[in-house]
Amino acid sequence: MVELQNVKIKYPTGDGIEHISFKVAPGEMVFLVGPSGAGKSTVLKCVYMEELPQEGHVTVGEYNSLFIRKKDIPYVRRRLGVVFQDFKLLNDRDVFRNVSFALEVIGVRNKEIKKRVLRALADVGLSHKSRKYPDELSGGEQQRVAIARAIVNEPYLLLADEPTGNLDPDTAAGIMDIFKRIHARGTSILIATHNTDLVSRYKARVVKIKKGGILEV
Amino acid sequence: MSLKYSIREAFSGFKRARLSFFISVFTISFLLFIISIFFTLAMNVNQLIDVLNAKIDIQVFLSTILDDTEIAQVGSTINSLDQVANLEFVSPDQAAKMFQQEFGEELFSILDDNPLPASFNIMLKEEYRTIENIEQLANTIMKIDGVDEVEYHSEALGLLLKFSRIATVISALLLIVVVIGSLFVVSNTIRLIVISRKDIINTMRLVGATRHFISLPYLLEGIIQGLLGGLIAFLFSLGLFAFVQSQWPGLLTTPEYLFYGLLLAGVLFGYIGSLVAIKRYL
Repeated sequence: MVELQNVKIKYPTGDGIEHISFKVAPGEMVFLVGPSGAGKSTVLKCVYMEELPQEGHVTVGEYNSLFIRKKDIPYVRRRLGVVFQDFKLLNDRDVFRNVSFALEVIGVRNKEIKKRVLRALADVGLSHKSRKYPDELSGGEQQRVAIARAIVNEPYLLLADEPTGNLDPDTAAGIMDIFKRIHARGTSILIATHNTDLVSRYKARVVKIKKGGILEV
Repeated sequence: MSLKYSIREAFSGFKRARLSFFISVFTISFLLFIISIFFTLAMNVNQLIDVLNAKIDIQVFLSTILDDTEIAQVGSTINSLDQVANLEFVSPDQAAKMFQQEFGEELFSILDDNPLPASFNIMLKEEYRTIENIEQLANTIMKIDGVDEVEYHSEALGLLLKFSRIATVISALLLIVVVIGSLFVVSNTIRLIVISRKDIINTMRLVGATRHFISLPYLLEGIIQGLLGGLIAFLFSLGLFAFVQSQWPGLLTTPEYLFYGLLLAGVLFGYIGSLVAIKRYL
């Protein structure tokens, strides 16, 4: 359902990725591992079509990067959830509105929004903090808000770019537990990380990339 | 839902770039105000020219020694000229009546016989009604045998035509300045708002908001700026014209559609300005 085939993206600086091919099957959890600068983020950007491959192609559900029209890209993203190392929360609104925002801007009806946001916040264990603002929360809590926002539209694939990069080991473990729970419900997850320790503690397929090419699947 | 969101965002944009918003509104209103002055002037001069034009373009006075056949001959020579749309013969008797109407004096009570010559009033075809053409034609007619004198509203008409042309050119130039100026200030304001909203816009893109949905508040924002600019320009124009009217009654006619014109122009420029900004910065 998500497949990268011989994807190449080269930036003018010379950085980028090349010969990237792998799949994420429905319900699968995959770690994308590699050192900083190997192009993990670029691979994720290809999946949510922030970048389109210069060679090769990416398939996400029924969408293919070769044929997709620009105006259809938002609809690809509605089927995905994305979580970042730096959370990317909106500081001018509380936890509830940060999560509900993801539904508001794609035109979900108000009644439905409330139900789904409360469920997502319960999933990440933050129901009691829904009126707090991001800067009143710890790093781990902020990342949980970001995860709630990513799963609130019930994506079939959750993408995470170094989701524990800014967190201490205990908090990181808590975040990983949440991913595991989400995965257990049948959502596919692709986590990019350079933390090999984290990878070794969870049972999941590992895709290793190094300076542009895939080493090991 | 989506419209409510867009309107709310558009108004919050105003808070985010308040100074820029006001500069933008006042620039638009100032430019539109100036253009409304020149437009009104041009329109008034053109109306005056139309009134003068509608009367007579050229008057040809004939020598008093011509007999009827010779007069008819001169008439047909003039009539055969390309530029002539209509030819009207005025006999000495008719001229005397018109003189009487104009001056309220019985001509024959002063003089024994009628000193007024017969004349032709020439109306030109629309496309030949320029001062150069009128002068040229007057010279041609002057050379026809039996023509004594040719008269046209050379100086007054020429001056008016010149002024009207200048006013029209200035209006057109101003229009270009207004368009470019409005586009610049509006798109700059939108750019500032977009920059201050970068986080929100990125998040929207990430969760799959359509481009249309993301840009709608900024389009509204531009339209609001233009609308306010147009409104202020209209109020200023109204004030100025009221003042002119009170000082010199009847001097100016204000265009009826000025209000709608200014609002429409404001809205249009605001809309295009934000469109430019969205294309470039979003």
